[in-house]
Amino acid sequence: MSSVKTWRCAALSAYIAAGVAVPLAGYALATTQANVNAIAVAQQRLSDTEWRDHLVDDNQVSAASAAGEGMGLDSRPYSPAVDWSAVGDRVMPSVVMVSVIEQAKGDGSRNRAWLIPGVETNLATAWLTRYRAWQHGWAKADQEREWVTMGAGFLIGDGRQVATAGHVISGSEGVRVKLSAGEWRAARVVGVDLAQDVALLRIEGEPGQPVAIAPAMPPQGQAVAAVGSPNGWGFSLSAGVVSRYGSSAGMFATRPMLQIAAPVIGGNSGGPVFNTRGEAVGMVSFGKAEFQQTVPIGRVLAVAAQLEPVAP
Amino acid sequence: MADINVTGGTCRELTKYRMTFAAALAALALAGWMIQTAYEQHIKILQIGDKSGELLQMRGLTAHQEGAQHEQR
Repeated sequence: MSSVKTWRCAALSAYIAAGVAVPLAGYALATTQANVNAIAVAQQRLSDTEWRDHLVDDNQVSAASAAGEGMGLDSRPYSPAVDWSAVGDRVMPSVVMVSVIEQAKGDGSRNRAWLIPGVETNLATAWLTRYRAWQHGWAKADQEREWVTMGAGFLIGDGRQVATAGHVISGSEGVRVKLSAGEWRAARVVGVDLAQDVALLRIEGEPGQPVAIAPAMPPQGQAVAAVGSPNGWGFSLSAGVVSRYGSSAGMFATRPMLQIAAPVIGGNSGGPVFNTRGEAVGMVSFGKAEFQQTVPIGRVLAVAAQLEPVAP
Repeated sequence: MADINVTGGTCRELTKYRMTFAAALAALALAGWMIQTAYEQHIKILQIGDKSGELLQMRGLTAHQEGAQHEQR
């Protein structure tokens, strides 16, 4: 009889355990499968919009449009001999390096997967994420975060405002900037327009020297220089030429960009692009090989004004 | 006669409980496989989803949902 009792007890326990486990596991699996599908849809959407924007740009581009037709380009006389050394001296006080500390992973609630339409956030995802955090030691990694120079920026407005690329500070928890004199300043993020890749910071302490703004965009072929922190090598200056005007699909919202051909790599992002008079004409956004897409300075200032409207 | 009946009943009960136990074990194994699969998929969601979510933000294709929390819908 004891054997019957034992088996009855074991069968009942296993039956109850299975009755609880199977629905819970099904709930978790159904959620994650739905999330995988939602991400696949999002990736397809990204691919489709990139291709559509590429086709539109491909159909519209011409030599005249690439040269900036109808933009009211800078017609002032420029000396054929460029003294980049003098330009560097003039512009460096307005340039800053941007250092960030990445956002803590914590419980994973800031993961951007949850921003994708259709991705479920429920008890199943919460518990699976917590298990992942425990398994991968996110708490320890969060404690070991350090400041990393991710890009550059430049002073605008009242000398306490810093314009930089949105993606430089995207996903960061803290921001600080290094002025050209080598002094670190704490900064707070006023706002970010990631789709236009523009962010506005405000630094503490005494204001610096805001950058001079070019009254018009440089014509195609004119010499320009970028200042930034390529590979973390702060305040590096590299020269090139205006390559073309047009849009480039695939990275950010498709908008008219100033394309330059100059040696620019990761870390230059957010850095200013100057003409040979030392006036800012753009801000480095992204690129491929020698060809870099920069946000025209007028749009940088317009977005900055939207992010922090000046009190009347 | 009575002994035979008791023994037969016990045997049937034992068989029933053993079959129930085996079926429950199979269901538990299935649940374990489902949890493991869900976890593996969730790891990919955290990695690929984070990148895709960032790209959607960068392309301006997602509504602002900052601070989305884990909660029952």
